[in-house]
Amino acid sequence: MSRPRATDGDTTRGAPLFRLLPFPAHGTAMDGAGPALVRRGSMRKLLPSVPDQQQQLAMSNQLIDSRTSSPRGAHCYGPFFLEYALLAEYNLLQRQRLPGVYTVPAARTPLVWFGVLFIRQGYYQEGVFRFSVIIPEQFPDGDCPRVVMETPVFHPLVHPETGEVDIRRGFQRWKRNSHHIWHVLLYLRKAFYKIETVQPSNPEAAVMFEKARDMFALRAAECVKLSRDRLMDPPASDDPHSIVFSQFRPEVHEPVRQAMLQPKKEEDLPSGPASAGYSWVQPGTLDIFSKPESL
Amino acid sequence: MSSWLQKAPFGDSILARFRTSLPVKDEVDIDVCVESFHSHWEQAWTKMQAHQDGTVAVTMDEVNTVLNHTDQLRVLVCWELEQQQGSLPGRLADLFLSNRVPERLLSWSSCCGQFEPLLQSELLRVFEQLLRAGGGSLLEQRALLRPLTALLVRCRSAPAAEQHRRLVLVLAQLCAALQARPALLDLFLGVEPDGSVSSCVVFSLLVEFVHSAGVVGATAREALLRCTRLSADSRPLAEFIVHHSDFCEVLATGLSGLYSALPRTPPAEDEDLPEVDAFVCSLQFCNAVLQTCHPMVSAVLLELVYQGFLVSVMGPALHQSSSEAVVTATTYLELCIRSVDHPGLVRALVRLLLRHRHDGVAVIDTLVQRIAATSRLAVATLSLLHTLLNLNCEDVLLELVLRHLLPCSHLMASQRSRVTETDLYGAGARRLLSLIPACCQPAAAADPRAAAAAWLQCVREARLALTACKLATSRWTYAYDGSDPSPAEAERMTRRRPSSVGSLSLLGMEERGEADGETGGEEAATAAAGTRLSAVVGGGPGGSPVVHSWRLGRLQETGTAAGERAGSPQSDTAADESSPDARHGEQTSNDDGKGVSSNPDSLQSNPDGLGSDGGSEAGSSDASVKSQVWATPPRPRPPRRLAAYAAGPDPYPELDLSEGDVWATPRTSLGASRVGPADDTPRQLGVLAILPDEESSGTESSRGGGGEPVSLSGAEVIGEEVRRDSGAVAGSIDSAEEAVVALGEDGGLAGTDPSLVEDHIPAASGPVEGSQGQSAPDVNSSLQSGIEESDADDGSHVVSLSDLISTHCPSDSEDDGDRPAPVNAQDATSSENATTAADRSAQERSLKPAKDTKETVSPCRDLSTFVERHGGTVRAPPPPPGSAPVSGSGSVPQPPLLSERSAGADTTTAVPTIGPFLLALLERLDRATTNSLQLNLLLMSVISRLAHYPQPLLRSLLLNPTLVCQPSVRSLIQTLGSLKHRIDLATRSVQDAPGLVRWARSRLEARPAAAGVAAPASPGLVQSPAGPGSLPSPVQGLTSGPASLPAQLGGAQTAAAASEGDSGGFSLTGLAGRLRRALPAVSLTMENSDQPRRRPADIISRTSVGPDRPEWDASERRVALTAVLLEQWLAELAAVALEHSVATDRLVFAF
Repeated sequence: MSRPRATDGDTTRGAPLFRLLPFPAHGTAMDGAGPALVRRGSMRKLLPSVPDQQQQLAMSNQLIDSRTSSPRGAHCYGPFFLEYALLAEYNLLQRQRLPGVYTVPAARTPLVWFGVLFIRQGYYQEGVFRFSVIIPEQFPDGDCPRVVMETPVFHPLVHPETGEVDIRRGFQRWKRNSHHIWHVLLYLRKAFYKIETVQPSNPEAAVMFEKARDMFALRAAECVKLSRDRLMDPPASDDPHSIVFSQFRPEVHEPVRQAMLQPKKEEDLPSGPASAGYSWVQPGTLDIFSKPESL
Repeated sequence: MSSWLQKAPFGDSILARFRTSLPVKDEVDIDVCVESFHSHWEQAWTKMQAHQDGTVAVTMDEVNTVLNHTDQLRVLVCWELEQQQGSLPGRLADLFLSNRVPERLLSWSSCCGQFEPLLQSELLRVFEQLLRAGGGSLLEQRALLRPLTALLVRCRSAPAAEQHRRLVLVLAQLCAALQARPALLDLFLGVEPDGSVSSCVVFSLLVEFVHSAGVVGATAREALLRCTRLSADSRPLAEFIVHHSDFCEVLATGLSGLYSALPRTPPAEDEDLPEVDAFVCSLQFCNAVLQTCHPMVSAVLLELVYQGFLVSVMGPALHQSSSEAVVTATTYLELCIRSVDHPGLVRALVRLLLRHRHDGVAVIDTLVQRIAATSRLAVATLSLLHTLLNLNCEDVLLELVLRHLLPCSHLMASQRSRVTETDLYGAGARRLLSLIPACCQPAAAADPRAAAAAWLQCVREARLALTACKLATSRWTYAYDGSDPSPAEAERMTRRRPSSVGSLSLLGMEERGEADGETGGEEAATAAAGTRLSAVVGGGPGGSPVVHSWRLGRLQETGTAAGERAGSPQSDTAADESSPDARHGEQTSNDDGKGVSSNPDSLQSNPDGLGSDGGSEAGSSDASVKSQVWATPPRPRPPRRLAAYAAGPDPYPELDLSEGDVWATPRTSLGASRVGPADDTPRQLGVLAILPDEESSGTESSRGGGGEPVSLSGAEVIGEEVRRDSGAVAGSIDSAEEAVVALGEDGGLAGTDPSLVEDHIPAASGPVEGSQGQSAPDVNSSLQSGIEESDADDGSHVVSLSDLISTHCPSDSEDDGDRPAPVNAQDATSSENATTAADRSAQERSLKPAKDTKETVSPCRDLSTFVERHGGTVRAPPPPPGSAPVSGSGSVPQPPLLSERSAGADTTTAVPTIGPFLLALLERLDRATTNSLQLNLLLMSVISRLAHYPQPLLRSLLLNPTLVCQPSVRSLIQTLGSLKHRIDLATRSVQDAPGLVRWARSRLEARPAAAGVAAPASPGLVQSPAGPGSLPSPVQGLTSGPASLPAQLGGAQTAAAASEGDSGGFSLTGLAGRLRRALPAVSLTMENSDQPRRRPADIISRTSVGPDRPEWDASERRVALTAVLLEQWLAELAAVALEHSVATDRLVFAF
């Protein structure tokens, strides 16, 4: 049985720095990166920045055809509400900054989020597992979102054939407002650090974990290796937002990396007289015009 | 500048025909030129010498000859200057200077008698062209500089316009040269032995032309801007401008003068208005100066503009007696705010609104009250408020809204932590959409695609607006999220606030100005503005006698102009200030609340002072003090405004759409208490506007000149009476409240000023309600507990309330019993359809002081809501005019003054309130079905703009439907709910409701066409957005405001919006554009509000949207229009709510 190493596998191992397509999703490495990217990213696909009537009409057609309005809204705005709810969820997720978990919503549907999970300790140390979060259409009123691993993972909670992780055990009844998608991802991450064997999706793995810990460790190491071997493979989905890994190429990646390492300072942000508001309230008071006029 | 110079007509010079252009070519040999120079100069010099002694008169021919020759010299020198790059003068220039050509010409010109001006003028031209060709290089030569300066000084007194033009041109060239070589500046500064600069001939000369019309003025201003830019780096020049030049005074008084020339009535839309252009030009010049000049200069200029223009001219203009004039002034003020962007100037304008008190009432309070005024006034006011909100100014929001929300008293205690909650799943948006009137709903399935496209449009606009607003407010001092500052902190800070805290720097200035004004001798006799101006600037040793007297004359002139303008009845403040009693004037205009007598707020807004009042003084004296404060202006004036304003017939009889002026009908049948159009001082226009004509004129006549004293004593007497009745009334009950109650019994007191009584009607309702406890509908049962509650809150004065009520309420209860159940929506709707006559009679009833008092006090159920909101009036006596119940009755209250704010700051006794501004908006919204279309549009845009603010306290109140407010606080959602309910009921009974809604849609879409500006609407254009969720133009155009982008243009219905913007319809964008272009906005506002009403049939036929259905009466149509408008606005608000839910903390990470 190999003891988990203390080092941080995915960061010490230099070579593959996953390619950002189109934007990094979320996580510690890009903590500064989050929100704005998302605003411009996939979730906004319905709201193109350049108004184009044709395009809009086409898209709204698509929307209306593909889904019926939300029963609650009784309006044609149902799909929008779903998207906004998911966008809000995504914003929440960003604030959590779950270590080693990166997600990005698919370009074609807001109901699928692609993710990648870096395991930094334990039996699955150094594993880089791709997964998808599949969100029910009724969200937030429907069932718990599902999580499906892309590469086979030998794990008591991962179904050996479908790759689906048993998340529902953590969320017997999905409650809007108290359950959020980041909870799902947190639960997923925890499952790889603290192995649970009760009511397993993969009984073999569960039994092995209980009875033959060494064997289990070997099998886990195997799937870690497998995950790393197949890291550079093209993703299963052809969605433009699916996460793709490629070798680090300085000419391509270095400028981006540098830019990320040096996030723009606040004063660089656009602010002119036109965009700036006014405040003459001296801190510590609630008196208007208490701040001396800046000359 | 050079471009127009080349076009300048030289034909007017008699020299033109003699002048032959010398063909100077590049290859010309310099020696040839030198030779030519010598020969020309020789001939000219010979002629000149012939007349040196001055014995023989100079003939025209001789002058022409000399000028012709010197002109050739000039051409030669210019040619050389243009050729060479170096700074050293070339041979020709050297010859020119060594022969002292300019100096000799100048001295010769003085021998030429009648031709002297001509010669000077030509000499100016020579200088100007030399400077243009040679830049600053020649200025270093004394042979040029000396005659130039001498000439400038000589030209100062020249009367000829042509000479002025040349002079300004030379000065402009000079300034350009100076800017290129700032080191040369010293040559033009007259330095005193002590090192200070006492003169700067260039600058002083230019200042005289700053207000000139046409090219001269423009050139002078441009040159002045170069000077002020120079002053930024040159302290001596800045000191000169401040201490020895009257530049700042001229600018400030110039604004007043130009303002006084503006049309006093809203001009027609497409009228060309040179006056407006001139005023805006001057204002923008101030703005430009401020942006370029030295801080020292800008400080003085700002103060002068504030005191000399804003306070003494703009302030009174906003309080004139004629509604037309007030509407116009409001629009001009909006124009000002939109025309400037220097923070200091914006600050001065905002300060005028928020801080300045006119007759003891802050301007902003008056504005808020005017939201309930006549349609036109309300429209102008709302438009101004919208512009204010667009500033993204923390002070504005704090004063209008946030201050009242900071204590979180409007929320149930358990909800306070929820303020920052993110509405993850669009509950707010869903709720808003669910409030779309039913008659608009069924169509919602008709064309989902167009609807979705429109929705996208809406969402995108909301996102842009939100992002901009968030960015602009990101550097505010506080976050206003319920914890920054926390309610406790807010309370502490509000408490600590002394009544005199003001803007420090400006306060200092004022004091200085005051002191100087007293000692100022003869200057104090000039107009107040002038006094102030010279006083503030007069710190220095004073300019030369000439300049000084000139300055005085100038000031008097402009002062007079300003006086004329604001003058006559309106310019109370100006008149005050110009009177020898400068002190009093100061006090009146002192907006920092130092003068107790002139500032009622200082009494009530200072909790400590209040406490001591109540504690130390006996009830009667206390009460009388307060009633005096409220009933009498600081300085009694004939109440002409009331008469003038209210007595005349309504100048704007509204046609089918807008009986918004009239009281909303629901009130009547609801049996809600009609709180009279209360006002503390009858001078308030907003209130007066609401008074029915007959009533108020009667009031006026009975009031007469000496109304105040009489009414005062009356109030006191009544106060005593009541005290006798009711036992010990502890200190702080406003005597007025008692007065009203007593009046109710006595059926009116002879000699009591009825208007005063009216003024205090709401005050009377205050305590009655106050005793009812929170939200208990049953008066009697809850009375006692309510009293105990308030007693616990503030033990000093409430004991008497029960007595008051027991004494006076029986009749009230009876009344209540007789009336229909208060919040009966059915009644509300039917009453909506009621005739105006019924309205009016109800109105009259409610306004008749004596018998109406009972009605007013009576409907306790309605009043119950009052308690929490206005319990503050119980504690802090003089209830501002209009604290009135809201509850579903549609009553039109006068919102409490903003200045009452500190009264509710005590969290333990905090009274649930959302502040008068929000209250007034919601009240007006409640009357949406009776408002004019344009008023509704503006109202909605203002509320939308408020909703853009990301500050959680405000956002949650407006958009979070799950947040539970105190029962007495009516949220936007609730107001919308009752509006929907009323609309639904009203449309249910209408025959062919879908047809009516279709008619309303087409009507709204046809508006741009109706405005007559856009091309006749093509059917496609009109019909494409006819889809259900189509978010037609009006609201979109409106809310996008000036700050938002023209992004609204992206399709069929947005094309409509665009054309609307062009037409300046009701789109604020259009309006903004117009305003930006310094065109009168008034007209747009006014014109278009009337237009659709004028020719409805015309519109309908033109847009070919089915026949006009005569079976719908006016009120039904109005309801339908409101419904459609509401539908679109709700979609817009929903989009805003959604965008808030996904707004992120950090804005950009770009790489």
